[in-house]
Amino acid sequence: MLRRKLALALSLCFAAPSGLLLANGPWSEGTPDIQFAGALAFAPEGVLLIGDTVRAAIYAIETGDKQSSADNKSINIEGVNQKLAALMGSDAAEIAINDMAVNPLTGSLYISVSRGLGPDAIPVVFKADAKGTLSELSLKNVRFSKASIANAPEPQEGRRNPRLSAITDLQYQDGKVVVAGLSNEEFSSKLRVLNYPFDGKSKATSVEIYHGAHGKLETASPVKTFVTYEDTVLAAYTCTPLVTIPVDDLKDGTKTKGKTIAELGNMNQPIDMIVYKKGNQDFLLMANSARGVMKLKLSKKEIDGTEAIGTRINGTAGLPFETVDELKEVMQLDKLNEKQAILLVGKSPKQDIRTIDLP
Amino acid sequence: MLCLSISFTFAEDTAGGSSVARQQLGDSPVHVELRCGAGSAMFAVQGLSCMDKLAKLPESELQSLVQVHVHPALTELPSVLGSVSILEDELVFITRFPLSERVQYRIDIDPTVLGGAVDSLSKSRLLFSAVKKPRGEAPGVVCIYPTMDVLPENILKFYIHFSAPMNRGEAYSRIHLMQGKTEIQSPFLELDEELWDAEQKRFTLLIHPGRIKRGVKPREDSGLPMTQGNRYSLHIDADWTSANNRCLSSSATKTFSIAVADERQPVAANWIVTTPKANTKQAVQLKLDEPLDHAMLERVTVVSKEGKPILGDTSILEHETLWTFTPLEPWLSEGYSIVVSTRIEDLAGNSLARAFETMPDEPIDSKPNDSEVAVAFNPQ
Repeated sequence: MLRRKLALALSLCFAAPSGLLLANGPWSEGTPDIQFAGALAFAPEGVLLIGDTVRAAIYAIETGDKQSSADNKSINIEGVNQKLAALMGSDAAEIAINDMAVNPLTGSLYISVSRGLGPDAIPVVFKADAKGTLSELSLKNVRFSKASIANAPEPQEGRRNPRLSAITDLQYQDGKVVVAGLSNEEFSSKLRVLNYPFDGKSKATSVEIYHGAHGKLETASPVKTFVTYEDTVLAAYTCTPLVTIPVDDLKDGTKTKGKTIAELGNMNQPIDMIVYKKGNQDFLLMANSARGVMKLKLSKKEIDGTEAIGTRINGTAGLPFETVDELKEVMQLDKLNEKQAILLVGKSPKQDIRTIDLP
Repeated sequence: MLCLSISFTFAEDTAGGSSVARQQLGDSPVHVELRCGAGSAMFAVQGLSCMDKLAKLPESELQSLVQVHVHPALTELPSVLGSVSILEDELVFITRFPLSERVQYRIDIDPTVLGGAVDSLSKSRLLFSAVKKPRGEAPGVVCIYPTMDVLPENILKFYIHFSAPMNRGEAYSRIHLMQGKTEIQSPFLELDEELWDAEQKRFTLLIHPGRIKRGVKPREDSGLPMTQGNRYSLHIDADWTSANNRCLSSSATKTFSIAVADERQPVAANWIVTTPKANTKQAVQLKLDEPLDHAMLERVTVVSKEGKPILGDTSILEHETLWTFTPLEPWLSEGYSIVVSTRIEDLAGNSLARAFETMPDEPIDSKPNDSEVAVAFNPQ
């Protein structure tokens, strides 16, 4: 019921998109011109979405991985970065794991990697299964489609480096792909919303995101990571507030302000977030660079009722959250199934994939 | 166990398919030759007497005859991705990826293939390692923007320009904000992907916005990273590696002092145009009312009265307060416009369109910030 409501809300918002940005094209067979395999997410039917900051595009790749799995089994791989490096004939210092996403249909894990660290690094995607086997997802001669999220080109742009926006997060939700980006020049934040499947005709919706501190000063606020929850986007800003943005507010060409529901504080870069249910209660699990993993109780009523944080923060205002102490150095997080999450833990030289029970 | 080690020099401009190393196995007629291409490498086993038999093997058995591993492997690591095939009279292993000079490669050949040419009780192993010939000069820091040595307390970003493409992944461990000998803790916004231009020669370093914005927790807990009246330095370690795996020729430091916070927007009406003469290629100049963002100044363009872009070269001078444009063709005696996006920011992120921090009772423009200011000039 709630998912249908979200779909309806989104379709009403975007009935007549008039954004600046063009989608590139519907499905074709061939080799997509991916230059950087960054943010990952899954669309239905085993389609992997790949965010490419350098091409300023989202690619949808048919993986063919659709066999529903009755029970998504745990995946644990020690030294995954060292194994990926060995497969690619290199060492861990010369590769980077960029993102990972679970195919909800099958429970397989997909990992986007750069082989090499310079501008000519080779983009690669690997698949990991419950046996811990790593295999390359070939990006040659596949069924794919592409949507551009480039800034409108400027005159004489060809002779200059284009402005790029690092794609900080990417999600599929009910016929739409939502992309958060952070520019490498101006300090701005856009959420872009694309119709999916990419049809090469409709334009991306572009929404500027702002933050209001204590109900007073308002600033542009790049989104670091986000997740959709009922008819709301839960977003973590780079300046660290956790906010809600009603999906109804994501209208093309507008600016919208998130309502602060929690303050994450200093030395704390939000990395990934997932929403899960335990019993009758919804929770948000958030991986942060310094604090490990934090857990917040969610309820639509509380989020709607929570006053936007308006007084001096002393660590207790807003929605309460607890730190899950035993989880440290979590670099990536995704939901494996209704009971488990999958983490990438550690930094070079050794990183591990670990499956944990949702706390 | 037979294990021979071969080193070879791998030049970056090695022509595709050319031989870079060749090793004989003992006194046998068998040789292993390494040939490198742009996107992969080929290990070719030559001089085998059983090629006819190999041609009849099922695919899965063929694939297991030759394996390549990175060496040494501290624990059991998977073999290098690639495929085995028969190429005329050679049994070849073609790697999926190009070779790296950071690792050695061990090629393992099934002894049954060697037909008694060497000790058949052991797998024959050969080690190959590549040494890349360093090319060109070591990279260096060309410039750090903004170039002013007095910066506002709420400065938002720096750009670091390198002379060559750099590696991603080590930026935040190579950049240090210092006050004297004390390092300021966590002053920057750190992104896994980092913020580079497409060539990875320009790095965008953002001060953590949570420590600048008033009323958010990081600022309330830890304050601004830099405060008025003090001197600081931005130090870049020489250990930062380029895409060619060379360190910088030297470290780099920018020293500056901090003045009062800048909460005022730039004002286009205060800019002064110096109009060039018609029929010349004199530069048109735009003197700004404060230093602006260097990268965004490079995107300022000139258009004709019909709105056609004029080709020419831009220079940004006087600590990013003077923008100049020299046309490729002489100016005509007609109207032109310098076009500036209202998104253009000063050093504290205040743009023509809006201040970095605004009060909510100021009207929020319901249209997006994608408009422009046109500064007209008319060469005579």
